[in-house]
Amino acid sequence: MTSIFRSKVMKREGYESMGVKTRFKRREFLKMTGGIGSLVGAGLILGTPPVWAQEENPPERPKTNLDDVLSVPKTKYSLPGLFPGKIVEVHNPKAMKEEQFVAGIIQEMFQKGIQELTGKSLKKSFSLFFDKHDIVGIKVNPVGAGLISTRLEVVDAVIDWLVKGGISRKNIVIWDRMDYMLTDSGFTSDRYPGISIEGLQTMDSEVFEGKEKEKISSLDERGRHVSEANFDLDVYYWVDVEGPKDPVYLNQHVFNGKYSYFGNLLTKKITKIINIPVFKNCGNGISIATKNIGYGAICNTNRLHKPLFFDVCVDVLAFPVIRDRLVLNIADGLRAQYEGGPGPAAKFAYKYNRLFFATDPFAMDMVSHDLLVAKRKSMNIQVNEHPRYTEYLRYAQRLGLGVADTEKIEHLKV
Amino acid sequence: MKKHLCLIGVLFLIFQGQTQTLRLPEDGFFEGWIKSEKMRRFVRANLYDYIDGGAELFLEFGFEDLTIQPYRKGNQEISLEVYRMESGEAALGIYLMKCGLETSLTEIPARNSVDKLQFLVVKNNYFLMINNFKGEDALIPVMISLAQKILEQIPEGTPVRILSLLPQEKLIPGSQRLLRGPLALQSIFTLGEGDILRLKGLIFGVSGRYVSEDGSSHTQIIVAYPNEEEAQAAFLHLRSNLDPYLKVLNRKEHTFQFEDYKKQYGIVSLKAPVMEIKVNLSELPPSSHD
Repeated sequence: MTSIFRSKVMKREGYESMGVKTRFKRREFLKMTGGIGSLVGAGLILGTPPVWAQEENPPERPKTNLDDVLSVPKTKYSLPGLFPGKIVEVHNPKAMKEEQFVAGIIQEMFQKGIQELTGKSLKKSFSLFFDKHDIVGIKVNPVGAGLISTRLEVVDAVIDWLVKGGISRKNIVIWDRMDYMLTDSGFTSDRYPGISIEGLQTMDSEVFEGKEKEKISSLDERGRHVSEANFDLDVYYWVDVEGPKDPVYLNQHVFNGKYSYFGNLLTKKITKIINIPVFKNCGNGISIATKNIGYGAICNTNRLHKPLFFDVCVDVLAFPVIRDRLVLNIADGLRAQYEGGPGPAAKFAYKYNRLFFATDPFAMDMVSHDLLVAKRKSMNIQVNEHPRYTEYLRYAQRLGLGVADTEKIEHLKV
Repeated sequence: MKKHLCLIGVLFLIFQGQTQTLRLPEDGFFEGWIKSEKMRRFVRANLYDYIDGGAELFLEFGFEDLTIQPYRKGNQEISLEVYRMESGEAALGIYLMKCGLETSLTEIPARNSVDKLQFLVVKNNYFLMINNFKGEDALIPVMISLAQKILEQIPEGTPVRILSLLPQEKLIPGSQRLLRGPLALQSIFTLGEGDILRLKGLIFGVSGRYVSEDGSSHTQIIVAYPNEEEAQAAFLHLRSNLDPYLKVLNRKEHTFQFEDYKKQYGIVSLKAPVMEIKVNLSELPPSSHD
């Protein structure tokens, strides 16, 4: 037996988080090992960049309705937000002790990060972004429950800040696209009393795992998805690409036409968004700030992977419902993942003990991309650094949504 | 004579049958462990049903079929996945793409990379995965036993020699990869769109990373084509359809050099039927060919 099974990592049993013990369930495992079954989920939800390379003649960029929204006047909160091109990296090697996350240290890291980003105290920083009447949606990333999902301790620090600022717990929503993933990763009403936990949609997870069933529980007698009503038919990202007309696709994507609707939660309820993605790769690219929102705020996304992929992370964020409400991004790099992403891969997860703060998600992604490339190289991973993997960030810069030029990005380390 | 041919034919079919269907370990292969669900099998046409988003890479390397069998003891569960690939090269290609830095167990009589959650094993034309759903230490001996019982049925096969195309000097250990199409190539370097090296899903190439003179590293890709004509055609196709981010600095009949988007350099050389490509070079290499 080699020594790996004697290592501390190998001795852990599941992952602990503030008393919430997260055991791997079969479903999570299939997505966690970064191996084969993992892609049952990861590929569908999160996209698979390799499809780009398969075409002898790559398809032309399809038409979208983006022009309709670009002319909408911006607000003071519009992306790139109050601090364009600024990103703060907070490192504390004590944030993880053994495999445990130390809440007190993470709280300190959060405080430092916000203060360094704004140049103000926590209390004054709150007033920069919110007022006490705001309904704040905290977008987490629950993929890879317990391994690389957004840590509850980070969300705790954010909630504590919001509540101290005067926002009622009932006006805080922890959200993601998939309801069951929130539960799996510990975001439950028991853990967060008084706070809403909302998935934009539900899904039959057995079908998601590839099991054949006569009746898909997420579809009604007419074959329509039971979560249809959760999406706003008046606010949509239209792309001239049809979604597949099969019930398996519908189970995961709610609709399958040319429209990707935004969730009602975003269009009718939330007034501000705090984005808390996880620090991880996505093939040769990354899946951090912009992808957490770009593929998390709308339905019917799988049809978009092939023709648009990372550009979706720009287009969706250009819609006022996101552009004018996404005021803060906090990348959870306490435990990060350098390979096998965007699905979880335990073999490639590592203690990083960092949190990143920015109002500008595109600057955050650019800095994060470079950091992950360096990490991948250091771990002997073959890295393809072709500009196509960051082209979407320059596209965002051209639209005035963020800063991608590294010479204009201010990267502070605390 | 006809009788002998028939006998050879029957033996061939029997042999083929044995290689296509391994006997999955029965109930009790390890004390208390039984099959927990019906075995599932996937072939090329429905592999997408199991690996949506990842099937393409298996198909590119040469996938034949997949057999999945979960086992349980009480509330403990492990799962065996047996991927039968076209050849040893195909199985090794997938394994190298998946294994990361190899951490091996000597108890497993084949090349393997393991962690507590998952064993990856390659032998002959088979690629095995054994999943430990809860990551329990106690299940590791069960996983080893399961691997052993499958591996003892798989003949050694013809050793995969294609990696020997790579020069050994200054080769970074663990950096070797196989490629058989654009998906595998994409993880290494973008030379152009589509099947830019004209591998046609048939020809294997190899790649490895090397320590450069200045201490940095570069990548070498080598493809040995079946004949000079195919190599020449591939070379011309690459030169004519080179990724627009790569700027050709000079070209001769059988070689050309380029500068990439990071101000690093690359060189493509045809020594038919072999095409050699070096990328991520920190200095412009001398163009000795031609």
